[in-house]
Amino acid sequence: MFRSFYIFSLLLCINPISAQTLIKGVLLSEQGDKPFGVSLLVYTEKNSVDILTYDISDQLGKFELSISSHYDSVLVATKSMVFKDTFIWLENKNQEIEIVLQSHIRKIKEVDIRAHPISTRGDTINYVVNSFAKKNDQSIGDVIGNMPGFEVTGLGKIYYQGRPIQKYYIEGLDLLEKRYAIANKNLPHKSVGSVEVLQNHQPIKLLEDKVASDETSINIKLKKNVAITGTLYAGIGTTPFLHDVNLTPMLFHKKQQMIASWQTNNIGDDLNTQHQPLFFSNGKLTGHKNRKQEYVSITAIPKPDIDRKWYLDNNANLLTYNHLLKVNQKTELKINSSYYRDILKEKGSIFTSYFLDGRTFIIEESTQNTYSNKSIFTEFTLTQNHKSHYFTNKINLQGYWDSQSGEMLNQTSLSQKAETPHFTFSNEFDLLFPIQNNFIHVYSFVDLNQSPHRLSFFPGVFPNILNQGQNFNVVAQKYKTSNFLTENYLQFTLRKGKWIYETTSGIIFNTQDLKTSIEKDNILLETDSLNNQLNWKYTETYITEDVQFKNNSFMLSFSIPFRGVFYHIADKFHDTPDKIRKFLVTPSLKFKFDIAKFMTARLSAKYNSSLGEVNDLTQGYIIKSHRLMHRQTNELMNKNSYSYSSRLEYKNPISGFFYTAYWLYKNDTKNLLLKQKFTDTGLLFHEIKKRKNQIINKNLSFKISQYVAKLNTTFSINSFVLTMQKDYILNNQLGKLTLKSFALEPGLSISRWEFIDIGYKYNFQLLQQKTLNANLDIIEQKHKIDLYITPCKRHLIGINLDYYQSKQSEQEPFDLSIANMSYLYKPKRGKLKFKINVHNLLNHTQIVNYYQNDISLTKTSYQIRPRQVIAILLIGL
Amino acid sequence: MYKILAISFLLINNFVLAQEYITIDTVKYKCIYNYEFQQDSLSKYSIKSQEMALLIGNRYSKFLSTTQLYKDSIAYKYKDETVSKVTFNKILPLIQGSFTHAYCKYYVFKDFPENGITLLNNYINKKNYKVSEKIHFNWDIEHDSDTTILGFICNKATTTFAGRDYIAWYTIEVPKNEGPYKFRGLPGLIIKIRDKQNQHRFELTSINELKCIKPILFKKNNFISVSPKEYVKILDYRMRELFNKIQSEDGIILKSDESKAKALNNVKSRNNFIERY
Repeated sequence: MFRSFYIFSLLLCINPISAQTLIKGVLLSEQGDKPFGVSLLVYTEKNSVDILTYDISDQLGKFELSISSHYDSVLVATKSMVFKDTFIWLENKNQEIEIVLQSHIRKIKEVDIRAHPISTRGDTINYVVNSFAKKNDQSIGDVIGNMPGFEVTGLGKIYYQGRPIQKYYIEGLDLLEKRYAIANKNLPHKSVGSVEVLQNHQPIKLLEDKVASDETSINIKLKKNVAITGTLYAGIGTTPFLHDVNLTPMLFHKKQQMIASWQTNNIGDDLNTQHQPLFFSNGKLTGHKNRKQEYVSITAIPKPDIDRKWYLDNNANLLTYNHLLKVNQKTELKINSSYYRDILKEKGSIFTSYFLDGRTFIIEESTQNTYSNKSIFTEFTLTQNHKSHYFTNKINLQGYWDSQSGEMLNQTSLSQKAETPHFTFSNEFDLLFPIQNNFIHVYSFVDLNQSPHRLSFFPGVFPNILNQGQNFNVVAQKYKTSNFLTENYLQFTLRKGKWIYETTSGIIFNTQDLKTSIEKDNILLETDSLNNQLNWKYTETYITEDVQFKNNSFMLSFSIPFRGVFYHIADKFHDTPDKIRKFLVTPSLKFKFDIAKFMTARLSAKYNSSLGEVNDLTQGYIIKSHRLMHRQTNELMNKNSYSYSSRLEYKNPISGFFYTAYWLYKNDTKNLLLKQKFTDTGLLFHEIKKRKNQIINKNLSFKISQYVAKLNTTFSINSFVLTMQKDYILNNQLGKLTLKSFALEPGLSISRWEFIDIGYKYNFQLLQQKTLNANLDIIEQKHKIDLYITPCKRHLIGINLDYYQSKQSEQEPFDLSIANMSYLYKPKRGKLKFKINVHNLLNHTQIVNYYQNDISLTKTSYQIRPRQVIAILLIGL
Repeated sequence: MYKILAISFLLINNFVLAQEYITIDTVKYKCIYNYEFQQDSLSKYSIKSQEMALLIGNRYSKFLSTTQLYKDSIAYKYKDETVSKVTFNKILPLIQGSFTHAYCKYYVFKDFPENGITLLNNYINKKNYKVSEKIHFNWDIEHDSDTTILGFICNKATTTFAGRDYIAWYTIEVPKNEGPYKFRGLPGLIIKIRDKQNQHRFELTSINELKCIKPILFKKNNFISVSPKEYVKILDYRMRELFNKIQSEDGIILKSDESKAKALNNVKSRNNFIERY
């Protein structure tokens, strides 16, 4: 085509007064009328979509086609809604013709995208909730999980196109921030009209239209402007005595929003997901600065990789109150508070094989653990998010009173107990205001926190080291930290056309007192090698330069932080350098461009250089478990890493086709390597060796989903391949570990018919690990079938079948099938509903799982919940 | 509540009374377009959208907002009833909450053989205006550019109209020389059209053949004939007048200074009608 166009243009150049022919004519219908409004099209070849010229017949059926073309002949076609298409080849010369048209009513292809469950408007994609709700869905979170492009994890975190969402708005207000799981799990989907996906959403109004964002947020649009809704149910069951209560009233109004909740259950529904904030957002950790850390813990049984409700033995209470008040157009006042109490039990056996040089050492232990968790959290937030400025101040108080205890049955029995309380008080201040076309951003974060942790064993462990080989009663490891942390920065943003320059200068100051000690029969052991006392101050000053360019389809951003890090350390017991200085540069580059209407590509390259935490300078031994003592060295970990990633996204709301492909390469170089020493008595000692080592990660993943509106069906396939390579040291022998993992998860969900909803998912995972002393293959397969049947109106029968298989190369595969049944009845009148659930119909007792690390393979059998029957009364709000 | 009633009453008055309809054609095809436009020429983010309907008959077509179409069909149904409390109660719930943006409160009639285009606006300042013109669109067909929109094979054409350059995609699969607003003159239906600055864009969202007989109605009011240029001036003048009215709170009651500022801003930002001269 290009060539002919080229020749054509050449001809035009040679002969500027190109031949222009005029074909005049008149149309006649079979009845002799003069048809008007008929399209006359001139082509150079048949079946072409490209027209040379056209005319439309006038009132008298007349037309004129003036053709400038070098072709000898042209094709004249008539097209109309009421006449048959006519094609006539004509010589390309001036002439007058008459065309007789035959009557024929044309059928047009009727289309309608308005009623389509997914539609777009600018950067917003709208999902109509009704179209995706299945019979058994209660909350909006259940329905979001069915929407193509979305993914909701077991912890309640929402991903859109493989990336976590930034904000979860309800009617445009951010009531819950990172605790959005409360709404997502309890807001009935019947109150929701649609879910809006806000792409490239800038939550700060002042920066809207000015500073581009690459993040995605969602907005829950309710059916009513003022809505009182929520979840209300209570159930009892057996055996043992089971209860499940949820009272969650919600109020949504233009001026205020409130969600309160009291929930209690011992049926395996994890309430902590509604209490703990989902820290990870914007692709980076936020709010982690004052997060609780577990410095010590008892030996836990690794959790099986199945739905938590199958095995979680809990007794949980959650009380939460969240209220947002819009004082005026600018100001929002918010209180979020939550109390959580839970007693969790676990029982199982751990069978660990350590692969030593030429032999395998096997340890078998059975364990019974109890976790008692109690925590309170309160946050007050004042926000002014306005076109003229942005201001927010947040006061946060958190207290944890957590403890753990366990009984271990080995050849001899062992009790362990851990107390891990944590208290924190913090204030966060954020102010952003414009100066002409530019912005100034002031940020300040202050936090005080304390974690006095303790781990004890009865009878005492490590007698050879702690008590000259003699048995003794009790040993306790103490680990206490108190912290003061503040981060402050000042940021200037300059805008010039499509460019944005940002410069940030900030200071982070952290001071910590860290003390660890070991007590034998309540007497402090004063040996230096069992004690740590570090008082350190950390000062970091940094300047970050950011440049961003954005036009309609292209975005580029480059960031280069320069960080000067300074540690001042006083170590009472050990020889630690008292000053450590380091200068770090961590540049990153990001591209984003729209390849086609629905397709976006992202590329990024990052170099990161980081210095380890001072906590890692504990050169005195710390008891980590009854088998493990750990000590560090006097040098800080220095990690240099570079990574490249690319992501391709395709979102076509009209055809309902969504896919994401993601590729990552990451290379970490560290100066320190963990040295593991395994003794013949089955004990492990961790030390640190100075040695340059590398970890290489490669990752490729796909997510594809296709929604077929006509069949009300979603097909999906998720898959990933990842490889990892790293060094390790076991008993002074250096080894290399290679890990390959592959997963495939096809799924299908059909809501085509009135009487049945069908869901099916298959999951295959293969893990291959090669080390010096062992080659391991672990295969896991899962089938999940969900059927919801409505035999007649007002009755709903649910059947869930799960099949699980785990297999390790040399061993017999382990199989488990879990069946669940439920029945729901809704009387004709009233707002009540009745439900009966039967869990684990086949009454299986345990699940077997395999875990591997660089030196061992662990096989666990974990006790699952037995057969249980629960009757629930639900009240619609 | 009293205020709402009063306003609604005005609305009803406006559309129930003094309307005389004549049937000029029957609807053969009904097309729905999504009209997105930047009401403030200076702000890319002042995008408003309105759903518009194009009713195509044999000789005439009518283009109007879907909310207006809905209101008119209700008004037509009750046309013979006088406004009483009963009709009031019947109609009020039906029309509540459906608004047409000030830039879309028009009817565009096109007649086929004569190429005439008439724009009616039924109330600017309680007056009815009429713009009649004959527009000959000079379409440049772009070769070698075709695409598929909504499953229709579309070709590209460009033209200039009322101060803006437009890019249109039309399909020969629907050989009707029709399009949204005043646009027409291509050998097939215009599926999508936007100006080069992307400030005004119409995109087809549905097309249906009508199975039942529905009339295309023409309102017979006393219209003041104006030229297209004058019409744009009147519209601008109306916005300015409204601005002054809000500012001086003349006949308009506003809850707070804030809602006043908002209203003022909103009116002020309406400066970018599709036609500009």
